[in-house]
Amino acid sequence: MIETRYLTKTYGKLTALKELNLTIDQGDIYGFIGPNGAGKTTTIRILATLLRPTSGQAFVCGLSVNGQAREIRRKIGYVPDEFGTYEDMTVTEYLEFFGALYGIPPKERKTVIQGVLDLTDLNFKEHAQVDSLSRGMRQRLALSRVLLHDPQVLLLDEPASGLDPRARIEIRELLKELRNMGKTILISSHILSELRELCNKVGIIEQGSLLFSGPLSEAIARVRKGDVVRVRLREGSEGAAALLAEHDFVNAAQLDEEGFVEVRLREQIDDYTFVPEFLVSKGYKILELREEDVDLEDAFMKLTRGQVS
Amino acid sequence: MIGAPVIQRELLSFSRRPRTYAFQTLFLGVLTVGLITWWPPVGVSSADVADRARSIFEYGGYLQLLLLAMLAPAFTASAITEEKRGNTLDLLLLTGTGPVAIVLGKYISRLGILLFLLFLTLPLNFALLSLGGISAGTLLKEVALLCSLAVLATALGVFLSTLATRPAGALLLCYTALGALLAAPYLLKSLGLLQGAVLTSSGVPIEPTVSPLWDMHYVFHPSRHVATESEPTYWWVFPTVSVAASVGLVLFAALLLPRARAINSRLSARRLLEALDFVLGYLFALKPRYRALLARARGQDPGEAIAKHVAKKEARPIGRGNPIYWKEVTVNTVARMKHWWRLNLILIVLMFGSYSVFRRLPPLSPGETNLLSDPMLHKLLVAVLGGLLVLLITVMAATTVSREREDGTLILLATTPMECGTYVAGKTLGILRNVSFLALVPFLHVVIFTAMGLLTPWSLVFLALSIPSALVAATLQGLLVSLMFRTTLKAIVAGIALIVFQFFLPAVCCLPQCNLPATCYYVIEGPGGFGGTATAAITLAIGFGLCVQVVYSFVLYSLIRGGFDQYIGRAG
Ligand SMILES: Nc1ncnc2c1ncn2[C@@H]1O[C@H](COP(=O)(O)OP(=O)(O)OP(=O)(O)O)[C@@H](O)[C@H]1O
Ligand SMILES: [Mg+2]
Repeated sequence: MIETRYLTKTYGKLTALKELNLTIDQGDIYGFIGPNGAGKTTTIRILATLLRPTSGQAFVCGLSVNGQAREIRRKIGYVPDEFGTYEDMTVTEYLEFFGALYGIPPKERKTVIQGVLDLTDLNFKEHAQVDSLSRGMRQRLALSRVLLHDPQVLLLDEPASGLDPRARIEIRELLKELRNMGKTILISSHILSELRELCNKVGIIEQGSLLFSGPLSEAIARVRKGDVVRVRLREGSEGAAALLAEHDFVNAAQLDEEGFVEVRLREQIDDYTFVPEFLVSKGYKILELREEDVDLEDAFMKLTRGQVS
Repeated sequence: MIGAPVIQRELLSFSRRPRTYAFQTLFLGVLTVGLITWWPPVGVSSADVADRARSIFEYGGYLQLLLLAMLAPAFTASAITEEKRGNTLDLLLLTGTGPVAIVLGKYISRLGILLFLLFLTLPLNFALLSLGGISAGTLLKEVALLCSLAVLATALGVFLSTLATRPAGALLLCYTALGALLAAPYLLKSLGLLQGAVLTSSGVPIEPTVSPLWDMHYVFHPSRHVATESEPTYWWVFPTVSVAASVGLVLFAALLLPRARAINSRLSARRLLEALDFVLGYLFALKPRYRALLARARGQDPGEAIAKHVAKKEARPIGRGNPIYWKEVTVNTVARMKHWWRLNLILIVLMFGSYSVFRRLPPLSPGETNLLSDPMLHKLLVAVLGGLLVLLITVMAATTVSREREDGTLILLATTPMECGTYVAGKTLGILRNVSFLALVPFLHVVIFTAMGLLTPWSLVFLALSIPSALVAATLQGLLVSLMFRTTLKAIVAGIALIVFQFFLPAVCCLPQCNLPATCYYVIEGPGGFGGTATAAITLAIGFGLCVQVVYSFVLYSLIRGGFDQYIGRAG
């Protein structure tokens, strides 16, 4: 659905994108992660036909961004990271305006607009002025706007930034609904936990280069270097830590700030049930036991620091 | 020194931009090239040389005056607005930099740049001085006048920048005020209001102290103003007044600065327009009142009848029309004013009312005929009206795209599959519709005075042909400018500069009829006009001018089309 080949973009001396190769298949929800200035917005803008690549190729729905821009625009919905609102337009007028620009025939416009308003739960704001909407509602309005022409591909640049937790959850639910409708979605975000629930693939980009691209589970597996188990004991934590550190299956064990014994397992050791058995056999009383999972934040931190070859 | 840190920051950001130097080089380059081409050839009598030097000096003076009046607002209009929009004003105020220091810092740094430009021209002036023909005293007076205009215009710009929300608003206000200042004596004089006002008992008139343009003329041609004196003695009045006024403006701006936000929200153009709307709506609300009366007669609720009427008027569907046109004529602030047309109507009524007053005025001197029967007046009046229309439309079109870019809404349009043709047609037709009533004014003028037998009917025919083509060309050139420049401020300055350029260029190329801003001048003639043997030649010339405009429009359109994706794509 989306493909880039050696995509490069330079601004003067600064290289924002370096030979980026990206493939996103139909139905994928692709999370695009990277620190500030990594080149996420630049990539998305090129795909949205707003920026010309300096060199390299990019295809959306099999159409090239160089030369077939207008055809691509009919097939994509793009929500920019920053955009303004029109003064003195109601929500319906706003959607009608964009509907007309997307060439939706006047007769169908009303039903289409009702449809997207239903989907985004904005019905109750139908007659409100666009510039009086709250930020979360504006974001939802932006999503309604790009859904008008039923695009196959959605390019969303940080759709949840600046939203409160409630609005964020609402947007996430909306995106899940879109996923179920079979759309291909490229979504960039800083909020990793959000992508985790939503995406089946992620791409991690730093300084214009793609460090990783593939299924989410693989990204996690890459950074997983042995699980960590944390145990709280009624007493004698230090002695327990020293004992555990000697264990064959354990890489290291130490006390953390909260008084837990942090047990780092050796690689290839998945089953940590030996830990409570061992401690009980040594006469310790276990209050609590937690499995620490490597999550996207970790993956992000490790991958962007170049810890993965 | 007060304001030193602000000055430092400002000058730093100016000096970091390479275009500052490019601009200074260009400015000097143009002046030098002009001077060299006009420099008197060898072998002419010294009286001729002196004459030439004086005329170079004089026209150079006018040119510098105009340039200053154009540049000073452009330099200052964004001085405070940019801080307000970027929310850095609060930060500045929080650092303990007082409002006086901020305003003064902005003022002095921008004034410094302008004065530096003037300073750069001094060597050229000294070169002229060596030719004779002008005295050092005249040079001194000219420089004093120029400097004082710079002082005043910069202060005005900074002051208006404090008041306005957008740089474009400050810029337009500043241009209007300066234009009025420069044109005031001529208007007053042509209305006979300046004559006879005397400053001193020795018979020195007040005229030469009113405005810099007039003063300049006085400095160069004292004999046309006073019979007895050779050199003006009151040349210092304008400089003194302008320095005093500038100090006042800067201090007033500093006083307003901490309350700038509150003033903005009170004084926003939108609010003013809405207030105007309300008043006009009340004056003209005949239909709802009639409905209310009707409803009352039928025993219904009059409030409901009005509400229904309003609701019907407020529904504004797009239908199958061009969405860009729809937006231009329904959402745009100007068209939004439900009573914009009525305002136009009032203007027209006032204008024609003034004609009838003029007609009844007794002639100034016994032998003179009434001013209104002079075809030259109509030529000038219609030309000015047409020129203002062209200027207005160019500026309006120049602000459309750049404003959307500034507001961040252009990027939304850019991702739709909108065609260039749709966009240009929508914008052009929308702008033309919004000013269509005003565009009728020169027509009505000509119709009235043709009916009175003071103008030839041919004027009407030519006008009907040339106004639409001129307005279309003006819209397209405004759109192109708007696509090319990133900010509204730059787009407006570029639009106005383009009009000024177009006004002077045809004179240089000896093709007066191709003058876009002065199109209407050549198509108006008195009852005997376009008659006799000259008719064919004049018609041909006017026709040629028209063709040039049509071709120009096509060229503009293809330029817009060629760069459309690229310009719109730079939306972010
Ligand atoms: N118009 C521009 N001119 C010059 N440099 C630019 C421009 N736009 C972006 N850049 C640079 O390109 C690089 C990539 O920017 P981009 O906006 O793509 O980053 P991003 O990943 O979206 O960052 P963020 O998470 O902050 O949104 C940055 O170093 C930025 O400074
Ligand atoms: Mg970004």
